[in-house]
Amino acid sequence: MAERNNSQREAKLAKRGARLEVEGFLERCRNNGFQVVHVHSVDALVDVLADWASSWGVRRIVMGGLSKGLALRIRSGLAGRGGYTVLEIDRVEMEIEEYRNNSLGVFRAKAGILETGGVVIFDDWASNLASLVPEYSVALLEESEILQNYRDLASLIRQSRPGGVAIISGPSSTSDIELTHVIGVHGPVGCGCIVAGVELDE
Amino acid sequence: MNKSRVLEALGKRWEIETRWRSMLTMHLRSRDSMGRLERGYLAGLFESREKTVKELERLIALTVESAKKEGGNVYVAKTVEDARRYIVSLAESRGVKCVIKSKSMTTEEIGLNEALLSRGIEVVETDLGERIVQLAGQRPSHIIAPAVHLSRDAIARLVSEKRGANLPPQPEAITRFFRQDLWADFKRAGMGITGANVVVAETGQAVLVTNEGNGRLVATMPRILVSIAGVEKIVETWDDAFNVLRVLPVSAVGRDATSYITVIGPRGMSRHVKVPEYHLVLLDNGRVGASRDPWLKDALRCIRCAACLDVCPTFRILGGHVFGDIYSGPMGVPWTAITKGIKDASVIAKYCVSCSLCLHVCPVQIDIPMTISWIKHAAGEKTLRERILTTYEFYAKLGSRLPRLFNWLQGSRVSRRLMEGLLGIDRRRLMHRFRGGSLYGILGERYLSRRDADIVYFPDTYAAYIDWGIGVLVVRVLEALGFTVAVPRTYGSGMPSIQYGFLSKAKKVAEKNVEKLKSYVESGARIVCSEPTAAYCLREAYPKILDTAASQRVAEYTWELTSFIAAEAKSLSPGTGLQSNTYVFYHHPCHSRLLSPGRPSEDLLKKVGLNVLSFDYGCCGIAGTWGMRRGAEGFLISAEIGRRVAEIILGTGCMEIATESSVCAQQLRQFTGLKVRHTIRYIAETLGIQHRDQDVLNF
Ligand code: SF4
Ligand code: SF4
Repeated sequence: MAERNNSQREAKLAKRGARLEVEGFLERCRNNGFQVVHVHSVDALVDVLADWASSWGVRRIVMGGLSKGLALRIRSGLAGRGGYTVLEIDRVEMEIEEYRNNSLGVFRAKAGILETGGVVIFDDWASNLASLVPEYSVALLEESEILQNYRDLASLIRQSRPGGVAIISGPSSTSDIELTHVIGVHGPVGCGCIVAGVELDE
Repeated sequence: MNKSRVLEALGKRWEIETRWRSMLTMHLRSRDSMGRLERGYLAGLFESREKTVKELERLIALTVESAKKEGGNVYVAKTVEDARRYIVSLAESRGVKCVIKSKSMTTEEIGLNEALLSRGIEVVETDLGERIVQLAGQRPSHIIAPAVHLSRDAIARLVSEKRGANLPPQPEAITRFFRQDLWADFKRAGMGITGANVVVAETGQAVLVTNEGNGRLVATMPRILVSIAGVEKIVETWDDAFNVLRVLPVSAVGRDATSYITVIGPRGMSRHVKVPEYHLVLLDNGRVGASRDPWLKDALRCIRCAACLDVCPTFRILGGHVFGDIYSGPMGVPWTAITKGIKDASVIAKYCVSCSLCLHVCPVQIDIPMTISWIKHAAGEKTLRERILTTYEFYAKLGSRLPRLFNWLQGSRVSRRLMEGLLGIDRRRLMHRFRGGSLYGILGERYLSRRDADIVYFPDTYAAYIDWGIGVLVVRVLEALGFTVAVPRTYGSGMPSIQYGFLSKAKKVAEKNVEKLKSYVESGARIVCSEPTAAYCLREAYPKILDTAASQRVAEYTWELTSFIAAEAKSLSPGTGLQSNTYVFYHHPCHSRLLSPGRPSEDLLKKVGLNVLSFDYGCCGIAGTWGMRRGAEGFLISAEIGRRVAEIILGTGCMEIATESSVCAQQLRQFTGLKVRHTIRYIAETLGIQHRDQDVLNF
């Protein structure tokens, strides 16, 4: 059943030229300083997370705003690999210091923007924290959530009326000292974006 | 112009160097990226901003209604005092001890930091550049790069001293230090204050564009959050908002997107789930009044991208602490007029030399140079020397009658000292020599009164009275291209009057020229100018000064000479008279950039077989008579620019320079020592029109 769904989905995507869009989107994100990857299963997604975490030298993974099912699969996937501490931002009282340093935040993006290469969060305080406070952060996104441009985003905002929105188009950076570009000021020092060719929140 | 402040700024060699390099880099990045931007966004942006200006009061009311519906507190402050009082008493009533801020020029405008500090409330700026200038006890010197004037060494020393660190002069190490140092402030602050790049009326939310993440943390961490914005930041819809958000980073820093765009409101994504207490403060302070002022209303379209600062020749040298008030550089002049009045604005208006590059790069087409001329005019404070400079044409006419005397006077040390004392013309300035006689006299009645012409040549002062040789060559080239040319007697374009804010005088000159030219235009003739500044006056300035149908019509029919030839003489091909191994540096005069898209002259020179090199450094720094003015009033700043431009040109290895402006030629000759020639001379050679260097005196 799942296989049939997948092949139907692939056919739909191919028809819409969505493959090209995914590649274009990832290319733009890469230009903005994201690490990017396109995966076709949640297991592959967990592999990428583990790889990136070890390349960044962090062992603490902090999830924010993920669906229960996805959070569980990531948690158990990482547990299988051993050596990771996995936290979930689920309480306001949680000490923010716990996930500031040596941490990788994982959050669920609402959309991606092809034209400028960025990801969008709507209304989710936990996603906001996971994308902002830790030293590194990774956005999770489905292929079908990639929008063409800001005009599409304007329509989405008008439909959903979010109270808060964050559009993230790269790691935190500054050029305030002699125009030298330095990555990593108050927000994440490094960031990634994983686009999944499967539904993430089943 | 405050001479002592200028001299002080000119003494800070390292600051000038850092700023010049940074501004030039930012300008080049922005220019390249703007070229790639989908045009629809620019058109959309213009419409969105125009709507705001035209319907400002309706949009303020709509924003208030929407923000209240969202559950926020909204306050429309009429004055800076109102805004300051609201925020300070809010902080005091909530027992706030420490406020963290993200970058906001509006808080600078209302003097918020000082007000909070005077009530014992600590204020911590969290934008890196703002934090640096806060520690230095200075104000920002640039609207988006507050510490652009400081070197890494100066910053490392400052931060080490003020924060008890021991930092090496490395941007990475300094940044890492601030990441740690300010984190503690984010956690302990009781109130966060942000500015806003946009406020969306349909939902009442504020939008913040940042790179560092401090804006997001300020909006996320404290329990009380205040966003403050000038009312002109309001746009009606999200589509309007995204027009701004798409263009802003491209025009500002040449990037498609900044790292973060944050939408803030009472239901925002605070670490407390939503913002426990949110206030939106909308500041009027002269903006609503300005929206009804014919000269100031256009400045309300400004999106604070700073592209105009980066390209401004005098700003690059003097920086925002001299050429600026709260708002600095070109946009700072109309914005000081709006928020503080004409008198304050006129103080910094003096640093504008009317090159018009700011208008050329402005994504919302604000005519800053003409607005500044009007501010100078309205302030009414002119010096005698400025008055003398507006009589430039009289001086040139006299020189055309007494060339030997004038050439001798210009060459003699004693008389140059006298000229410096009496007329304010710097004795170090290289002056053009006079040929003697006028173009009108040389061409005679046939050209002066001809009515059957399809081209009217407008020579302006230089070709009419200083060296008619270039004027004769222009006529010969146009005739060789098959046109019938008339050269009616006209007045000089009046640019010095426009530049120094003598708009009544400029109006009289404009009226006379339009009167003379309109009958030609009515019979279908086009007007061609060999001086780009003259074309600028006829095309851009006259219609604004006169606001008549005739001036509009003359404007529509006016061309800058080489753009005209590039458009009309499509069949021009490499000529026999040119040496194809010649490498020529092409200098693009400021006013011709504004008038013709692309680089028509450069393309034309390439088309006729020359090897042409160029570099977009902007203005060469003479700006008409301004660069001739004594010392700190002009020449010293002009020389700073001229030397830097010369270094770039000489670095290309070219042995001669082509350009169209007679004053640019003066500057380039003085600082490069190279031969400078009018572009028309290369075209003439292509067409086989023989002329010698001595046929044209100066370039
Ligand atoms: S016209 Fe030129 S000198 Fe004047 S403000 Fe604009 S860029 Fe600066
Ligand atoms: S005046 Fe134009 S170029 Fe200058 S900051 Fe405003 S929008 Fe940008």
